[in-house]
Amino acid sequence: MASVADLELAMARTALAAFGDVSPVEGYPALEVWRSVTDGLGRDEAQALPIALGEILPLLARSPDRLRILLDVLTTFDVFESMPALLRYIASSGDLDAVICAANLAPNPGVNPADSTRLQQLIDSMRLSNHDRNVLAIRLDPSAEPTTQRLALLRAQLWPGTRSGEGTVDSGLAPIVAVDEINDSADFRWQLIGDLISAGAVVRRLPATWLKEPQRAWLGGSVVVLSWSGEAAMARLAPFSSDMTVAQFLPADVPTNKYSRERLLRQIDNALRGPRLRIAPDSRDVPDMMERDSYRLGSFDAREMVYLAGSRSSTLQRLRLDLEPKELNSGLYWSFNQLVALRTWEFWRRETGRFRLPTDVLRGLVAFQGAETPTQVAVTGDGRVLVASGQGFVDWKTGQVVSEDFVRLDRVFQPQTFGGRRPTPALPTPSAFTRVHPGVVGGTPCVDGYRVPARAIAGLAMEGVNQIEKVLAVYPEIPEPAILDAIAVGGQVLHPA
Amino acid sequence: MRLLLDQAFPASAVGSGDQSLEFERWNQGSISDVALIIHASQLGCVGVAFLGPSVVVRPDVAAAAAQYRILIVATSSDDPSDGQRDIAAHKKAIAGAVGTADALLVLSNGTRVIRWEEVRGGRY
Repeated sequence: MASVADLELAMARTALAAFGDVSPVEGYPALEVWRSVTDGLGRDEAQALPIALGEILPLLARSPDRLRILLDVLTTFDVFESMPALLRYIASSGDLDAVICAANLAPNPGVNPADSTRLQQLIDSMRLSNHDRNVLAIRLDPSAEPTTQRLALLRAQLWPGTRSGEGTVDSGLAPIVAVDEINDSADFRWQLIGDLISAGAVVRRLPATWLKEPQRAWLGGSVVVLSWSGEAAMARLAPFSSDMTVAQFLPADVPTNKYSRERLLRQIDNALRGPRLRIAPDSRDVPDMMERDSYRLGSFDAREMVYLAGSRSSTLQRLRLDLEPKELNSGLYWSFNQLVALRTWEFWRRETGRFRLPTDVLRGLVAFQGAETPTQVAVTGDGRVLVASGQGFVDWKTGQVVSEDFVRLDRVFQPQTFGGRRPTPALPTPSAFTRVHPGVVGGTPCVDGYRVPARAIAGLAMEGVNQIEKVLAVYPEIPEPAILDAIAVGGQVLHPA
Repeated sequence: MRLLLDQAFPASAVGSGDQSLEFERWNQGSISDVALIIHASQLGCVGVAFLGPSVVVRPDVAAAAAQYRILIVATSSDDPSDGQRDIAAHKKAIAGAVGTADALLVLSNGTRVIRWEEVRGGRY
């Protein structure tokens, strides 16, 4: 078994090779080096990486271009463990870029306070211009006053807790994602941080062990905290930022592949307030559910129709002629436009209290869901379908111009809680861990990020005790919280009203 | 000859294959049904097995299967364990349907060849 020193030496060699290969002038060298070094690392190697990166500092000193890339790596990826090596290098070289790098890392709670003090002493002993001193002060002290607009922007980026209010300074800032390292896995962590940097985020590492408390301004209301430790992350951060909310803490499982990492990135993006990530188009090749083509997809059986449309089995049976299902082997199947039409019809019946709303409204709605041309459609209280035309709405059948108040049908996709019946779930997100997309597994609610129907999971869980164990034996890749959620959703699909 | 199993089949289903028909199970995220067919083609699989019959009525699935010459295999049961059992029990029929059928519905006691044109009704 390799010792820690052996691993650090091996990682130093790997890193040196990566710095030797990278072009200092093309692309994003720091990210390229990072990808090259972290690709395929084992857990022990990943843990040895930060120290190894610090140790190669003096070795790259003779190659200024590559030294700049290393300093960029240390800053960008918040490699605070390199602080002792940085201080030694600064003491011998007086390199201002290295000082700026160290000043960037200094606020991290993983940095020994004695090292921060030593950094300040080194800065005090250097001959620096006022501007350079301001640049360093902004990085080290959130109460330092910025002397230029650019420095004000820098302070807002480095100290999000100093931002005066929502939406006031977002322009020009990058989103900040904090990665809590309690219970995480170093090999996965480095890859995820690479993904985040590639997506334009600023990454703030929260080490499992703190050597000092973080300054209050280091975090703030706009930061998303990715955590593998559940409430423990909230508990230890809450005292240091009064404006952080539960919504900022994103629980994570350890993604096992490229697709689940992409899914995690999208979850992070959705949780961000203010600046967002730059995420490439979804490589999973799933079209937007609200695009016209998606309305033609799907094959929902009767139970899925009843659950997702908020209808009843008896109603669906009665509307069979109006909805024209496909038939195979005695089974009936409906497409997504028919599902949305039925959901709209049910919504409108409940909204207006007109439970005998004419079924020809339903045929009209089916015609407009996913039609060739996007059309604004409305339904009146007496059951007429209206179509947007010019400045107003006209009756779909008579062409008569109608001017009256109506309810926006966007609400159809929100969860419905009318009457004493079971609530109708939201589309496309019936629950926290399930999604509906008519192009994925025919549209049945599936566990988010997996092609596994909630109803299949619920069916397994119904077979007896030890529900989670039974499901995990069949689908070991699905995290437990998602299984519990899918059992609830799948149970409602299997036993609709 | 390899068949790509959808992720809805149990992870253990891969072990049900043999030399006449090997099984590979999709476990790479939530791609669309059509993308799964395309991946099967890229992986050199002769077909894709879906859990439950509903996929057979989908015009987009039929079009992709025809374009990429992929046999669609659908179990009549929605239950993962039953689906695995039925697929494993009818490997010979599935292998025999490659190149001759559009889709194959796998029941507990046999298989049924499906032609796309026989799916009745519907206004998609």
